[in-house]
Amino acid sequence: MNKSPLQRLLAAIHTLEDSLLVIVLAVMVVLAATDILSRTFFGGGVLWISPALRVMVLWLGLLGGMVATRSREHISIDLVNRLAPAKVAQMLSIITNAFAAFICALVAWHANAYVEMAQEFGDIAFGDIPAWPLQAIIPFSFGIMALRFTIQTLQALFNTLTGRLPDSEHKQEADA
Amino acid sequence: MSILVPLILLLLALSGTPLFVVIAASAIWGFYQTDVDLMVMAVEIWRIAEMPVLIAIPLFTFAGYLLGESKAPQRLVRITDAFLGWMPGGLAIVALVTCALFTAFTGASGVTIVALGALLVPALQKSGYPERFNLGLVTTSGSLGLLFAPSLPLILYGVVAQQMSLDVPVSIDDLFIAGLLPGALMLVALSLYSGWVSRNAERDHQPFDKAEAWAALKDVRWEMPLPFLVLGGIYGGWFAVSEAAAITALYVFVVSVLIRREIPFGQLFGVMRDSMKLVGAILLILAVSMASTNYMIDAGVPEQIFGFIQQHVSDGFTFLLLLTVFLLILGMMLDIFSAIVIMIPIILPIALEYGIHPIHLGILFLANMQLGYFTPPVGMNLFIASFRFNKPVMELYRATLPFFFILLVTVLIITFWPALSLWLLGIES
Amino acid sequence: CSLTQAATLKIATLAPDGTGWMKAMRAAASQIKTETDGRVKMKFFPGGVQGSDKTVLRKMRIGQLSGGAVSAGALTDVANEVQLYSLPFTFQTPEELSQVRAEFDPFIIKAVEDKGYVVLGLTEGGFAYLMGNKPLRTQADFSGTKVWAPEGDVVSATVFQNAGIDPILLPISDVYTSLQTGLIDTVGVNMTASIALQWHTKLSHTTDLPLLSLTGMMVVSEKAFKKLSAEDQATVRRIMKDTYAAMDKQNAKDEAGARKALENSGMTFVQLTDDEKATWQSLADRALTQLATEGVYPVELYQQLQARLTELRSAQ
Ligand code: NA
Ligand code: NA
Repeated sequence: MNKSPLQRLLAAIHTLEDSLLVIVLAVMVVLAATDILSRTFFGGGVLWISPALRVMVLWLGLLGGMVATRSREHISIDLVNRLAPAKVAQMLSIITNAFAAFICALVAWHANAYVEMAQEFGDIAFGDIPAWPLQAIIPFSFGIMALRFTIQTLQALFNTLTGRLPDSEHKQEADA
Repeated sequence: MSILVPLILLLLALSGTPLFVVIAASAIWGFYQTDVDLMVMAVEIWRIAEMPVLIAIPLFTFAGYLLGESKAPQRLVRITDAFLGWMPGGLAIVALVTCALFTAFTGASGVTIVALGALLVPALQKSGYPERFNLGLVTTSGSLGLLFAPSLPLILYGVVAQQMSLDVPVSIDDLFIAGLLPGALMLVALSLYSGWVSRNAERDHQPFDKAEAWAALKDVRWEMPLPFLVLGGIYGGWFAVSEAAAITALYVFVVSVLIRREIPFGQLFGVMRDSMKLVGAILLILAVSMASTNYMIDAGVPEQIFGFIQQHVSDGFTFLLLLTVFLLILGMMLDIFSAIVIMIPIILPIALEYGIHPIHLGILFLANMQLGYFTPPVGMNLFIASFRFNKPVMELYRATLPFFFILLVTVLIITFWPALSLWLLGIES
Repeated sequence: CSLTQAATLKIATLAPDGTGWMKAMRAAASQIKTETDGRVKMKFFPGGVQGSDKTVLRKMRIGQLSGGAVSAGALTDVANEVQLYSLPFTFQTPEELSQVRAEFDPFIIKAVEDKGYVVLGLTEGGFAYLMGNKPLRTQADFSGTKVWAPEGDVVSATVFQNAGIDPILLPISDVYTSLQTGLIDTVGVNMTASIALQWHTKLSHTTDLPLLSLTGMMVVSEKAFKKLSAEDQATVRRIMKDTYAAMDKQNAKDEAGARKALENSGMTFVQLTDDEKATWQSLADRALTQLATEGVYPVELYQQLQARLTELRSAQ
């Protein structure tokens, strides 16, 4: 199947996200191990490693959340999809996705205001590192999630209007 | 009005809205009501970056995923079979023990059923166990091992409890020790039942084979140090939990990617990404629940609920009984991570008022949740097993029923006999 | 009419509930409520439920909290004057600190108030001592130890690093667990806190040399404080000032009591020779020189304080 430019752009964005996620994890494993080994064998750890690792946990969590939104792998109570007919499930997914988009957008908006404030006040994360660039992942990831939930809402709406059922198209949609 | 918003949120949750969205929405609503600037959401989410113990979560999850993708499950089955296979019900016990060990590392996200079920069900079948028994056994085992270190739910309970400012500190290492006997009780109870069921399965009794045992031992030489490294390190007080996690992740990576080469570099990328999706799902829920918990503390919600319960429940025994029923229902509906971050901030202060030790509460909470994984009609593992083994869910209801009642008895013992959890810690219950 | 409305000052702190400090605070709060005819209430969030000192300051900024009782170190980024009393080996005895406070407190308070905070109290939290699991006299004794320094506390970290020790930086809330698991085995803490936080149960030896004075401050955001009428503001300031003065006296007694309690519970107090003390002093001097170049403390003001202390000592 030929890919449209839009699909290629999406694929590139996904690869970028995945790579960032994998790099942060790899750096984390290496730094965490370095910290322990240097402490065990050379008597002292590196001061900035442990606060840096903690920030990476947040980054991994939020980046992972972004990627999980792509394939709809968030933890949810899955009663409807198990028990309700496919049509009902699809209609409900319009509502739930729209709600998720709204809440994520709300968090992103206020988190952005907060990061601007932190920048203005010169909030320090650790050492001499300012906090705001590290905190910027919060509005960014919630913004992306809001965007994804919006797209999924529109897809579900489109499917409902055209009478398509989620199962037949599910694989392609899951990559939105 | 006050009941309408929570009701709508509950309906949205039941309709499949991601739980982190529901939790975030409840926090936002609460803060909005009390005129707190919603920038507070960012402040609370940022607190994730201030908790050293959380470093363990991505690292253990990554290690667990690597193990699952390698041939470690096969080797684990082989070695337990070589050493336990000669006993009556030996193979069933093999299944139980391997699943418990595997779940402790992978955190009962359904991975156990998918990864080990494929190996164990055919093996059990061949040895002449009844089919229904096999299905029930594997489905049940999918959540066995939650109480053993370094299971993620135990870590998460410790993390959440530490946010509560208790007079009695809840350390994750204490939780790891507290889970040992209750976890063993569940294992022993299911093993006894398996031995009884298979008393007539003749082909099951194979003699102990020294050569095979030695070969199996050599086969696991690289994995062998792992439990000693992790559990010995943590229980022996050499490592903090996060340090053990770092060493585990590095070690498992070196063994399965560099030495055994069972995971090619091309596949490694996918394993890393998939493991971090789970981490993202968990940490998102934890992050937004920092905010909802903060709102509840701000508004004094636990005190209000306690005041209400206190009017109707006078003693700890009745409280625990009601709690068990409540947790069984909750465990059916909610995954274990969400259940911890949503319910513990409410339940823990109340349980303390009834004189329940926070460590005991953690163990009984997780034991109940473990049961919830396969409580009909909607326990998650029932559906995973139904999908994995291509059987109707109704058949799995029947298959898991005897296991359910056995574990229910052990859960009651764990709940009403605090000493089982606290004895190893030297805490008077 | 907004002035007649009841206002609630929401104050967070890491201090656990049930401590003498919290009792004094609650007593002050009820006095404030009575004297303002219920117009000013105080609500406390003890035990760190609102997060670390830094998180508390962030929440004050966005208006979720009105104030916090935080360690002076948390305010370093706001005004480095807060470090004045917290530099190593500045005071030889607690009395010396008490004698200079009337002169130097106003500098600290003014510096912080200029940055938009109202200082309701400044307290000496006792002196920090090194506590570990073996006698710690010389630098060599530290090989193989895992020393904790409070996260964000540049002063302690620099002193330790000058002694060739790389401390492990953790938030206070993680210290107990980390002592339990052996992630750290040596801490610097005052005696009252070592008992209140149960750290003493994991430690056996105290080096009997006061390291530095721990300063704590109660700050309220100007925005929250301005919502009170001028009269109520004065009442709050007066009552908190009296409470803090009484608390300073009580703290001194508590420290003495805590020392007795530690001795009774089997804590060994390790005495240093004059030579060993001099070595520590020279380490600290090196650290101070380094910290001065980094602008961590108010150098001129500190020299002024040193001069006053020299005068006091020679007068004796
Ligand atoms: Na795990
Ligand atoms: Na469940």
